Amino acid sequence: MSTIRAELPALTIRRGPSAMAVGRAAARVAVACAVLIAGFVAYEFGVTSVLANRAQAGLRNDLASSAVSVADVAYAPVAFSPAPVVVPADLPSPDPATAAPADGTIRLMASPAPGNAIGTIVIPSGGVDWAFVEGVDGASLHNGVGHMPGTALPGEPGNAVLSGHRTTYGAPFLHLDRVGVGDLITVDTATGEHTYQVVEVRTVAPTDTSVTGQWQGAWLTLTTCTPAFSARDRLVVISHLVDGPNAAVILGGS
Amino acid sequence: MIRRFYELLPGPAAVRIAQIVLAAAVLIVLVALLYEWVGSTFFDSEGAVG
Repeated sequence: MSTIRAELPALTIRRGPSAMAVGRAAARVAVACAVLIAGFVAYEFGVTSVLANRAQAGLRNDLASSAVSVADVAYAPVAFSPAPVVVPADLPSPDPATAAPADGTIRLMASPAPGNAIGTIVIPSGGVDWAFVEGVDGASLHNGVGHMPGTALPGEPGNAVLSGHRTTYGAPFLHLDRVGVGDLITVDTATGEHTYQVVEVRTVAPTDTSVTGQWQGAWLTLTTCTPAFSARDRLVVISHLVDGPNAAVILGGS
Repeated sequence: MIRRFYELLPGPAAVRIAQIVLAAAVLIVLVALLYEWVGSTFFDSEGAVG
């Protein structure tokens, strides 16, 4: 009997961590995950918006203080392809109050350097009022809205393409889905205030470059991610120039 | 956890604190880069086409 007792310790089964220790470790992992997720949400919606809003203030100061060289040049229609868009016939025509007389010249601005402020875009129906810069790379769009290099500048012949984040970095195009056919878009640059009217809203794949081509006339195309909180597709708003210092000449000559 | 980490570090107190501050800075940068990558890949890429 005593021999058996003496051997008891050797027979003790070595157990793994207790259920309590496992629970404690799981709780720590859960808390760490929660902190990471909360940090992610705070970063995406808080930090990036603060950065974008701060950048916007700087861009608007740049626009107010910098002098961009502008020139009036004789307008020569460029042989762009026709726009793959059908303008609805029943669109109400806005009154061209500020259109300059068709004297055969259009006002052009010097090509902006990457990252430089170009102008502002306002869409009342979409809650958009943002300064935009040259470039659609990550760094440029962290400032808000960006103009795609190689496309026309707003107010000029061709298709000006502007892109912006949907839900982060200030979410400049968060409500772009509220913009409908017939709505007006105002773009203010060194060449003046250009008004566009929306003619089509469509959704395309992120790689569909058919919407960024250069077309006869003067167009403004806006792109952003859709659906919101997803990078799956692109929401595209296509508008055509209806008013501004170049409208009469471009529309009359195209 | 921070105390345990502190005790594992070599050197006098000032050097240990400096190492903790440095490690925290590196960790914050790495987490920010991770957030940026996750956000721009799955959540909201720049919105550009092409």
